[in-house]
Amino acid sequence: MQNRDRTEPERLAEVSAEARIDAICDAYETEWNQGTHREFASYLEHCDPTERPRLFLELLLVDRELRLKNAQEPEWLDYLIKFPAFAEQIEAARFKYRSEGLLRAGPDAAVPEIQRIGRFELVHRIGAGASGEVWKANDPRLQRTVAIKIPRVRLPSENELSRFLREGRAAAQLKHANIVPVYEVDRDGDTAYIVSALIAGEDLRAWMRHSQPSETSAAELCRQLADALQHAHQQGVIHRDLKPGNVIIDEFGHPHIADFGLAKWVDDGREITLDGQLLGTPAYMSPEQARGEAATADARTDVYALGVLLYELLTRRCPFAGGQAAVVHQIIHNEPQRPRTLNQNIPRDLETICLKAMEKEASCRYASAQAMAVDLHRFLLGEPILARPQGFFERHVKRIRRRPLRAATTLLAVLVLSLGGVAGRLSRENHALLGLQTITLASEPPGAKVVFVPLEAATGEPAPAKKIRALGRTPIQQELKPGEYLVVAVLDDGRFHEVYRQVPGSGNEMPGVYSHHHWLPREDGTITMDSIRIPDHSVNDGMALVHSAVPEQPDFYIDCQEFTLAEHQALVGQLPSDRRARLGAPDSPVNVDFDRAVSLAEKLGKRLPSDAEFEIVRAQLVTPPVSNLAARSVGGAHTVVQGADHAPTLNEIVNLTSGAGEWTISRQQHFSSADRKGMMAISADYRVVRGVASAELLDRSPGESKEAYGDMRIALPRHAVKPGLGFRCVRSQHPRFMQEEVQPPQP
Amino acid sequence: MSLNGSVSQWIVSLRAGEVEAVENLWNRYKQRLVELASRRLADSPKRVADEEDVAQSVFLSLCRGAAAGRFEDVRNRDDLWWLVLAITKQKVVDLVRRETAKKRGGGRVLSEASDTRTGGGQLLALDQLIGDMPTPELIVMLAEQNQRLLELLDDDRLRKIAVSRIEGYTVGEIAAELAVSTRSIERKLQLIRITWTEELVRAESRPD
Repeated sequence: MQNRDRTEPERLAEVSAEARIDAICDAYETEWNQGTHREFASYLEHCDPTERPRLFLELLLVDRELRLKNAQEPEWLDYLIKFPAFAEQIEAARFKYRSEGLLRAGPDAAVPEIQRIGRFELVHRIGAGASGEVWKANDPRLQRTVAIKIPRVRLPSENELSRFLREGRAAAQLKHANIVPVYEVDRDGDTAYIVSALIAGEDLRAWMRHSQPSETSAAELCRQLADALQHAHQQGVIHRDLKPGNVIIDEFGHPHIADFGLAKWVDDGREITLDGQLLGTPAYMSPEQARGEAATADARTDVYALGVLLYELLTRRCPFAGGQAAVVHQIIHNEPQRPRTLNQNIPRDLETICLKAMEKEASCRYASAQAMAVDLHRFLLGEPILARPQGFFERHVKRIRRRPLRAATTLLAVLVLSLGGVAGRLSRENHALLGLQTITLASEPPGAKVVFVPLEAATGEPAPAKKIRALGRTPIQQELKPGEYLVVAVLDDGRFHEVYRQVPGSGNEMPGVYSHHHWLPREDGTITMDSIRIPDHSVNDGMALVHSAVPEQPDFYIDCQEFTLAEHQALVGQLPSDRRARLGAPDSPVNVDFDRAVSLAEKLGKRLPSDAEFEIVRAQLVTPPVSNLAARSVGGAHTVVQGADHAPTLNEIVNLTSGAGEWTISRQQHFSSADRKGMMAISADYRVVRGVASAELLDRSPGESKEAYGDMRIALPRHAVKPGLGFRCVRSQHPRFMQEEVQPPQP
Repeated sequence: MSLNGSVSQWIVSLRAGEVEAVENLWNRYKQRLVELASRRLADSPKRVADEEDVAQSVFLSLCRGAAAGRFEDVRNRDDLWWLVLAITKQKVVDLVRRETAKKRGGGRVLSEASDTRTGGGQLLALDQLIGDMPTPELIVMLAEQNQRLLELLDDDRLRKIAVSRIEGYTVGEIAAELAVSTRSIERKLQLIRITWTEELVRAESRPD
């Protein structure tokens, strides 16, 4: 301590110097109050030159306070211009005013010197730490109570301040039930601050002191957190400092992540002490951060921290213990003790999820927070998870990287013994190297012939030239390149279905929710697609047959109206879970996103129309092709209606161009109008919506021109759910791309 | 910049867990302190008669503040009180040492003596300061120390500020009371701190 390093005379000298400075300041203040004071710099003359900087600072602080009291707001710059020699002291005073001065008051202290920041009225301090302070405050404009965080950022330059504001505004874009909403980020003079929602609850650290969550609730908690992380990552915001102190558990037990993307500002000045030691617990730091490669931090850094959080929730202890240096060393070099060795009750799958998230190498972790959320969800549903427990080989390979010699000898011995068993797996891995995946596919009923028609990656259109005919009949096994496929399955009696399926590429891809994007990896390295349920012939009942005049476009059936809420109830057994989708009378169309529409159509035994098919129907409705309709109405050669008392005609098609929007399977591809022809940019995430232009659909997505008859053709993001945006189904009259396999039934 | 840095550090450096621990210690300590203090005041008719003397007491100020519930949160305590306590404890230790030497082991061993580290080059930590319940001897010493500590201060205004602060008044309240700027109160508190810290260092390094 300083005072011990000094001699007694030195210490006494300091006491008397302080007393002299105090006396001069008193004189200045007294004279100021009497109005007899001189320029405060002149008070410096009477003191020892070595004491002047200290005296200047004290006089400055008194001067500023007296002026503020008299409603004069002196500019810091004015002081600087007058006293350039004391720039350091002026800077110190400015800093004191900004941080300390603002934050001096405790809950039971007098009114704080500054009672408002920006337009917000500070109510009382909720918390304080080395990193800054949190205040409860009122927003008079919106009449709500908020939390204001004032980070103790040291003397930010304009540059830093604008970066802080920019990153804060990015954080304010995040809208998720499990993220503490940041309302705004702003500055008041030199003080930057973050305004967010005030959430009643406690942080996860405090919560864990009195709560012992079950394995299931721990998984559910982390699933919600992973969901929130995924949302932020999609917006390009990485948390970088996820830890129990940053997670608030509300009164209903739901977690909320705070300080998104702002961690480095909020924690500024807290991280490193003078001797370079890390302060606080580094337990949640990822190996890449521990190695000092903070710049490489990405979504997987947050995945790691979430893994540690799950570990702690499950085992009630940190994966790595000891002093800070020891913890950092272990984070980089040691595998955590397996959770199940600490608590036998932890389900094996949950342990696998936890350890996968905590892999040392970012590339071995879940590739995204979503991937982790999916596995946690699968665990909660009792389904097999996708992460593989780390096998003997992986463990040793990793150990070799870190401790080459010792591990290598063990591994060699084992390799010799088990080479045989590895061979099968290796050959499959070879296929994987060629980019081929082995898939298995079944159908109900079995025994169908199957054709896989790849969809062009660029356009999403089927590429008949590249189609692959599966050997044998379902269930089949087939090697396929990763990508999307139109899969046509035909039974010998003519029943068939046309569905979409996806073959995953690298190990990082995750299965989707719906059958057309869903798959299950198997222990043996193969992939199982969702089975195809082939409908009966009666699926065509109530559909109208459309004769195409275009040679390359086969005839097809189309539903007379959009898919309704009542049909949804009948098909799925309930109304759509999305609140927006279930508004309206039973006969009103269901409002769903594109993928849900594809999935519902498949369940119905049908499919979505292509843009071209929709166009054919529209054109025929505008100028009814008499001959086609006549042919149809006498039960023409192409009719395959069975058991229907009444086969509808095209004229009965309701609302095709007078309802609102309907999804098609096509991507925004080409347009042709009177004056322009060309290609639109093709995005895998947009689909063409046809129908009538409604305000709801067009307001947000000004698409292409409205033509006569209210015809609309716009591209909407596939996840869009909007009022009046539904779908109707079509069905090929004969299975497409199957000419060689199946002869059309002869009349 | 000044001697008081290390003392302020006592409070600033408390981590979350420690605050809770010290808070618990303090609550028990405070209760016992007030209890002993009121007993002592009742037992000393001579001193009570001398109203002025007692009213000036740092020690009494503290008791008043504690009774008024001003010291619920350790972090919001000014460090003056801790200084007074540290100096007093040091004096008790010195006293015990002298007594023991005089009586060759015949002196009573006070609990403070066993636990208080002296001469180790380290100021006492907060939890060491209040780790033991206050003894009647400490109360006697506290009451006697206050007069001496106040005498170390140069003028009545400084004494008034010291007493008010220990009693738990805020800087703002004291500034309003004395009609001066808050900065002046802060500056004077700092002067009091370094004056008393100097006394503490002297007490620790010269146990005669």
